[in-house]
Amino acid sequence: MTAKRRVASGSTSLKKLAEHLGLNPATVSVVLNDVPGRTIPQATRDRIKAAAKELNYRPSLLARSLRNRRTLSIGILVPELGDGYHTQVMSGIGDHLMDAGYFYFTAHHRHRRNLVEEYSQMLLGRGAEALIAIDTLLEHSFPVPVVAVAGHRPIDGVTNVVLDHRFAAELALTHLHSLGHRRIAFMRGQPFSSDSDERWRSIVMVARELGIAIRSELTVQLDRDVSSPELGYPVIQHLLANRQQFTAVVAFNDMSAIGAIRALQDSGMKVPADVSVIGFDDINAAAFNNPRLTTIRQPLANMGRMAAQCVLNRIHGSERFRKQIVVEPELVVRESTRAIQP
Amino acid sequence: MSSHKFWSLLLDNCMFRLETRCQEQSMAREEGDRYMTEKRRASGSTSLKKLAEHLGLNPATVSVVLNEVPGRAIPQATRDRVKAAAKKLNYQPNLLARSLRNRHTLSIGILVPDLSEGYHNQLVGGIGDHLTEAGYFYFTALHRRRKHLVEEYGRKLLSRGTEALIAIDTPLEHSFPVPVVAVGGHRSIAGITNLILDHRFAAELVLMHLHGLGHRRIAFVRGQSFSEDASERWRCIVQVAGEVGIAIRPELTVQLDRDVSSPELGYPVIQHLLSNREHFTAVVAFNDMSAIGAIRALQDSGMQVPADVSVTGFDDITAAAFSNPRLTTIRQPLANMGRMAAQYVLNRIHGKEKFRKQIIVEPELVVRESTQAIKQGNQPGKTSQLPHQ
Repeated sequence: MTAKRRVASGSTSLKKLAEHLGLNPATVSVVLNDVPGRTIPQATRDRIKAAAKELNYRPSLLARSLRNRRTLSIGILVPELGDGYHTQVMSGIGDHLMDAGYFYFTAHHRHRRNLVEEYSQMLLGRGAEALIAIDTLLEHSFPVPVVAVAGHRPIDGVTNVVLDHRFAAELALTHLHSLGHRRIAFMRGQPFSSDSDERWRSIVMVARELGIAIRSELTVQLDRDVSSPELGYPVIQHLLANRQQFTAVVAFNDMSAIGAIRALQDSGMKVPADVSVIGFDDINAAAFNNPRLTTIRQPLANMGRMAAQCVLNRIHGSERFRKQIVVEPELVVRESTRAIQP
Repeated sequence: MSSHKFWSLLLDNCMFRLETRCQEQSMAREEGDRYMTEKRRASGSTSLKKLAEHLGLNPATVSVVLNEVPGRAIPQATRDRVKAAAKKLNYQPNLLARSLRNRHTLSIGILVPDLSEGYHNQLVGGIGDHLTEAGYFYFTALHRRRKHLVEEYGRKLLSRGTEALIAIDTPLEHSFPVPVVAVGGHRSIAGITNLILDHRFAAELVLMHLHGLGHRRIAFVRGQSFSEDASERWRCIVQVAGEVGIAIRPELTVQLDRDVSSPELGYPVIQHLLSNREHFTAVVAFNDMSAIGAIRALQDSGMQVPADVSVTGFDDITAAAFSNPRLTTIRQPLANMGRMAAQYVLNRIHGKEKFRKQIIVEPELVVRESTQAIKQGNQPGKTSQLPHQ
């Protein structure tokens, strides 16, 4: 019989395995699942394990997960998998979950409210033990642990992983202020991006304290849902076409900063000689841009890892619910900012 | 083995598998139902049975309406009533349990080395967008190019019921019991469809372009030996270079070996060429990331791109168009390749398309600012004009 069975590339069921061994299926199950506190002789245990190996017995994880209520999977909601922010956070999450033996489902909702709702329900329907939402607007609580990376609403059971935006604004504006910049153009993030409001609020507050005016004619609003430098190009082009004077640009993120620099260069201006530009995030491309980008670093991959660790701890009950986890930013000074020319 | 014996063995084997499968299915079905009841109790939602009781209808009728089973004569008024009650009583079909009944998990497994920017995330992004639109989710398994993880994760994805696999830049060693597409895969394995770029044409595009601009002393950056595309791409470059009359000089050929996907990739290898005082007028980089790093290395040693050295990339990632200078490159339609891979596995799952050994995608030359015709003084045979520091 074993000879025939071995021909099969498919696996054996628990029942067949028990028959083959002449044992009760329950005994076989207890041994293979390492159920504690059962007195089964070591010799029997060894015999069962050897037979399971020989007959290529593979437990069906899907069926087993229904018994244990454990699917070892996490659902991830993300707008899209663009360059920069999303991918770097995802990659931190992915590495950490895989190391812990978890897999994750991903759904791309493209910032559409109805899809966020629909996909989160579907992820739960597939047995996700927890959800991680990246740059995703959640509107209610869920029956499983949830971590929202860059989430700002207080919702029951949802832990927000947030950057200290107030400190980030201080770092960026004090840096430019100390270099003598006063006429500064500001880019506001897209209304659908989770961090936009909070970041803007902090900038307005810190600017006032430092005595930097926020001029409406120098404030541009991003609105396109792209995550390439294309984001920052047209808005700076627009300022230049209006012949606005400014000595520095505070971009919403690195991608838009890179686009802004390109727009400035394309109209014959030099960065940083004519205009300083500061980014936000410190994505990989920032250090290799020409000029290299001065930016505010968010520890993106690390934020992903923290989010993953937090949901795992909550699943395993080793951590209490926290409303938020605050992450500290860092100023990285490179080539795109310098003191204004007298 | 006699042919009779072979067939009887095969038949026996099939019967055994069928039997096991039926058994597993019925076990799973029972467990699915049990799970659903428990879960409902926890979340306060209603079961199909309760819903039917509430409506005073047969559960089968309710199910037919809610699952939109075609071809049943149920009055519209009843349909509306069922739907309204389902909404009011918060009836949610349990997809996990349902998938066990149908054997449809509506999920696809993706094997990818890592989720780095550029190549991998643009492909996964394209696949994900398409799958999500089609009502499928995907599991991503990052194997970091470790052979045992590729094997282990492939198996685990299947045991989670994924209906197909898409492998990106991943060396697969055997066939699988589900449809598989290998993006950038070059091995011929039963049941695995390789989605590949026409590398020969890509090599022609890039070398003809540089040749046409007068470049003859060209430095080549070879891809990492673990990259599935690297050896095929190199083979084509060597072949086309021979035909066009461009020499491939070992002293101008550098090999990438680090497993990073940022411009850091191309920086040190070009620095190395420069510190050896090698003279070249163009660089054919393995991909855009390494091209951006190469440009930065050239600029940092006081050279201008493209005035002193032309640089070509490969892939056309989003950063290519915004690099300074904007990158001349060979476009692989990455997001579109992701979509094609997704659509193809969906078609195979639904039996709408037959197995194909490979799907070939055509590259495109995108000329931007990083290449230009060589200056007179830079022509072959003349002495180097490189600024040495």
